[in-house]
Amino acid sequence: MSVVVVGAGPAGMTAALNAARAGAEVLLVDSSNALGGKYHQAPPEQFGLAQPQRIRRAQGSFTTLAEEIGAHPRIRRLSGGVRSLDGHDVHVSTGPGDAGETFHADALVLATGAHDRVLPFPGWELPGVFTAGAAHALASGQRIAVGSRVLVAGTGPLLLPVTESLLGVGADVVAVLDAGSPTAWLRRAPDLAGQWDKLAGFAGYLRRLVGNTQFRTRAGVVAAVGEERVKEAVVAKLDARWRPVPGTHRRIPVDAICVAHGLEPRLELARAAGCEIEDGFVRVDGAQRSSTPWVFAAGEATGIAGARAAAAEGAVAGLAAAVHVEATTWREVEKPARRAMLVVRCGQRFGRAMASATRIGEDWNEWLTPQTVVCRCEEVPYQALRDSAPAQRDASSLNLSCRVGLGSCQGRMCGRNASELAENLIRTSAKEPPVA
Amino acid sequence: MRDLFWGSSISPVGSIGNRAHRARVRAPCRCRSRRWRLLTGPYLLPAHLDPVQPRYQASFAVEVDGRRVTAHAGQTVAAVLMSLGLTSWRESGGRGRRRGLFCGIGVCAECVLVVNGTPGVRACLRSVEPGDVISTRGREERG
Repeated sequence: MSVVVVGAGPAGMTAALNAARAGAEVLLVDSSNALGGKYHQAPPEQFGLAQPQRIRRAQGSFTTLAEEIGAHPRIRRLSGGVRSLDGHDVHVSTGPGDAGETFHADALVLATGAHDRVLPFPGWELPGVFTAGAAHALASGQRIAVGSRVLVAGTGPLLLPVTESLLGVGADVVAVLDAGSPTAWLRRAPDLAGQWDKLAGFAGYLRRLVGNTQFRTRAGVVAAVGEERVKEAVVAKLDARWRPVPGTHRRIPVDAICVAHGLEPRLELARAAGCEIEDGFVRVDGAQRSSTPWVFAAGEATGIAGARAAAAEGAVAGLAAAVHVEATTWREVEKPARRAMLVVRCGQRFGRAMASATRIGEDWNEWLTPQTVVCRCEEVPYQALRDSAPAQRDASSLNLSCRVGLGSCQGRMCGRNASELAENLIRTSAKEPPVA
Repeated sequence: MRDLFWGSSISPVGSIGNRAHRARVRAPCRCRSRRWRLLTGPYLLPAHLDPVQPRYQASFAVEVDGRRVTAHAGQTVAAVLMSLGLTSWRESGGRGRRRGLFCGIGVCAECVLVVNGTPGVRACLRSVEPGDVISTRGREERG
């Protein structure tokens, strides 16, 4: 009757609570001591905040949820990382070295969330270039500003909350550059129409940014300049395919650059559990069940659709997992599950619209130079990729020939970029047969 | 501030506090003095300038490269180093370039360093404890 929930963000919290309410014994594992994940990130208790409501999103509903999880007799919380998955046994490392515990899971709910995707550009390995998520985590979780003069660049709605949290710790945000185009959002207007709370949220962010920074669309950072650390950012206007427009390059003195080109789901555990991955996300059915019958997935791992949809997916997954471990019956949980499924469907529609509006331009490789590091861990330059890619037939064999994605991050930061670049290179080399 | 792509009036010197932030912070203080205006790089927002008003419950000494510095309970190792203005604390294995924090959430392994003699500690996840000895000089061994 035990359900293991991995990740305590919006999806994991509701999954744990709903499974426990339905009668299952729940273990909630998260790498952080605090509940809320990255979405509800706040400074630790030891900081003794007098005004915590000024930082946390949706403070009221979060507090009630967190209190109920903390007080629930059937929920056990554990801070640590899931090291491996061995059949139904989940190994959780709780300390340095080999310290850890093993739990039996009759059902597993993966709410592992996502991290930022960052497209490489010359100089992106310099200290002072951060993911937007890092800037947000440090600002809202530790009250650290990553720099005094910060440039925020990339694409997607994530840039606005990041900018706001940077402004909140007193950093000067020189500019916010979104490579996407506003017309892409307008074209998707019918799908966005139902999401008034999200639109109001974005409008609110934009209103608070006016006068404090400048917001530009169809522009991006194409290089970072500096020796030991970032001194200048080179920005340029981008066309619809994300090619830098000649003659629009500007050098801006900054001491930090925060970049995010959308989100990348964390799928290591889903892969380890043998779940089918479709278009980069875990494929789930209406009950959030993956292709492995005892594994459920919720939140950004199944599609990027925002916190409200993630929480609804978590609720469905938690109830379905409780039914799976026979803590309850489907008839008893049908009503709340169907209500949550409705929110999930709305959220998915919004997610699809957002994904197509914030699509990454095809020709972003135009701003790369031969020396640009593609894989940060192994320091593989773009030239190495260009040399070895045409000899390969598909992108998956690339890592063996030039060590892309074999470093300590296991390809989590560079894997998708490298395979996209390789596909591009293989395609172009197929078009132009080599000379003699 | 003029438009980014049509002429620039961007000053080269960083300063703490943007307009929105200044409006929320009431009393002027020494932090507006020259030292803070010339600040560049990362910093910890001083508690008396912070709209959420932290009151650190415990502060203790840790050692960073032989230097004793004050850390607050609940801070991560990365936060302690960045509050000292550091951006990099590692050299990459291949080319020996400086590296520091990148993803901030334990995904990328860029911020690993030596804490109490244990290599490979992720600075962005590890909370500081009293008496920690943090070394930013360790060169990564290429495996």
